[in-house]
Amino acid sequence: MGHLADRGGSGPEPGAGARPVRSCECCGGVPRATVGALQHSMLPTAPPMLAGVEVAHRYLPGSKSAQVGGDWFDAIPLPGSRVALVVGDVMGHGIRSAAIMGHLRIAIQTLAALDLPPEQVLRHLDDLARRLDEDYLATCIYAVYDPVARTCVIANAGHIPPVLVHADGRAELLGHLPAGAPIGVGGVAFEPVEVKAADGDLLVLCTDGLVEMRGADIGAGLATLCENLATPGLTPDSMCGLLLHALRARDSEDDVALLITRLRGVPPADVAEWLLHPSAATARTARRLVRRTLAGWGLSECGDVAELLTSELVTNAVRYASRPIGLRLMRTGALLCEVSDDDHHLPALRHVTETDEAGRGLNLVSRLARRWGASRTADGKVVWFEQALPVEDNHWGQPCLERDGGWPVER
Amino acid sequence: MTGKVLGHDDLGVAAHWRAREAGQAAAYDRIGARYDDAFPHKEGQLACGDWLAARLGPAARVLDAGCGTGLPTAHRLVAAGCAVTGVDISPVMLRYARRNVPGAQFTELDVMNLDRLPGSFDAVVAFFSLLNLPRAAIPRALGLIRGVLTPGGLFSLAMVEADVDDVPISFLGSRILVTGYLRDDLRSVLHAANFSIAEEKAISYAPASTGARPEIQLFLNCRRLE
Repeated sequence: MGHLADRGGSGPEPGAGARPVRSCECCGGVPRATVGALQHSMLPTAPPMLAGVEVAHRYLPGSKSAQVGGDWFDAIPLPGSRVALVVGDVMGHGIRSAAIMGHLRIAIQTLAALDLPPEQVLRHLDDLARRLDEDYLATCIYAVYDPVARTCVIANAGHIPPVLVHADGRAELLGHLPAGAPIGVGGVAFEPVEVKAADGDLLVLCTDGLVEMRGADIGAGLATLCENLATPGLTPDSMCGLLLHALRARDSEDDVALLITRLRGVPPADVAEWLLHPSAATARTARRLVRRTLAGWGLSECGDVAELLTSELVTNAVRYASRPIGLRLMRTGALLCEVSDDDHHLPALRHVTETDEAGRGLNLVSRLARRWGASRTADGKVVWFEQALPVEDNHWGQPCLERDGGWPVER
Repeated sequence: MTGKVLGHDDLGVAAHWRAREAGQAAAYDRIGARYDDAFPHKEGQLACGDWLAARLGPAARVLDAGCGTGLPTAHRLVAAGCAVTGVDISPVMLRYARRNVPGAQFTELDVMNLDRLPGSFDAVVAFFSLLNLPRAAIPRALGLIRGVLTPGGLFSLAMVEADVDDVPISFLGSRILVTGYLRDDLRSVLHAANFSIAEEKAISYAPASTGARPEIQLFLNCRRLE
């Protein structure tokens, strides 16, 4: 392999061949192994296993003089089984671009953890970029796929548009999305667009290194991309391989990041949601609904813990809510429970002593749930926890714990 | 589950009610065709339509209370040979309904004024319409539905499972007031209104829009008890 390994591909791809040069000429003589290790440490390795999606990705370095690039990609799990899909490109080449890419990628991971809407993620990223360094620009797409609503909300910061490949093989270039302005420009609005995503659709995000052809404009490259995507029946991983083989010029100087996601959806029967009037009886009602729903899903053995933790979250919500609270249960790779209310204050895990009355509920959730978290919503907050399913009930036929794609365990 | 039952004899109440219903109607006017875009799959409604069609004679009279765009229910029942009357409080929804189902009769009418409709019906359907009433009005609405049914008449009801009474929610970008019962409580309300429940089905539904939350839809096929 070259000085940067092909990320995620099983075989060599064009452009990733062996190169004899020992130091990277664009990085002031820094040894290639060092540059490679730096960039390697800043990109995801294996595609994450997430409910509702099938993700494949590739990263290919550029050739010759412009060895190190600033392209990156990510698939970040969000509350409610949603996933943020990200591809970005720091303009320029060299070790500085790669280092800036590392900053931006971690910043996006952090903003995603706050579950901000896509346009706000890009706005914060733009602000951050201008605070860190005034001299660079980056383009970026941030898309949030909701496998329950079957929508993608996409915001763009000057990046080439994504492509949505429909189940019949039709490749639709989402060229109508507002292009925004690159990260680092400042003062330009990022406008989110909601796109419907049918089960089985592929969302294709890539950097311009894949579609730029010498002597042709980017439109021709995007058209060629769409032509090559119109091949129904391929897995995201084989589609990645096919695209790189078909489009990647052997002598391309630019690096390439490619992220292809099959949007699979969560079956409606695996989701149950209610609005509940907040009262002294709501926690009891919630327990009843959890018990009934888990029995229907054949998950009664998760019931005791689920009922207890749900009742703690609902009790907490009832204390602060002035409007009906939302209770949602989801069965995906795990059992997920979300309780939403109209109070904006996020609960915090606190140290409680034996005599403390308050604060016990969240400590219980933190001890007994596999993961939990809280984030603000447009009209309040949502607090959620996740429980592992018994192995035989896991849709994926493997223990849930092996399916975690790098979501921080909050314990 | 408790609370006073709304009477319509009080003028102040009537004025308040008209203002409330005007607000609800305006919300549905704004939603218009986006309703069917957000709820493209209506297997529950179609299954109830099948249940009714299998039990109704030729040219049976059916009332669609809160008919919306007329799809799929009024359309399904007209195709089954029924004489369908649709009522709704939203003029925009009625415009869609007249276009979608030319074979049915449509009238702008509040469910709370069903006693103004002439004649009687062999069946009534109310899919996601009574959820726009406060709990205090629902027993009276069920009584009015019972009143327009022939003896032994059929009644198909769809509601969203929830435990709320007349609360404002954001629905497809508009603010509407909604009411819901948990299924056990809904059965009690129907029994108290002198309906027997022949079939009940719960369907988890994820609207094709982030403007509406996933919900559990309850479909109940009932009979007027004598």
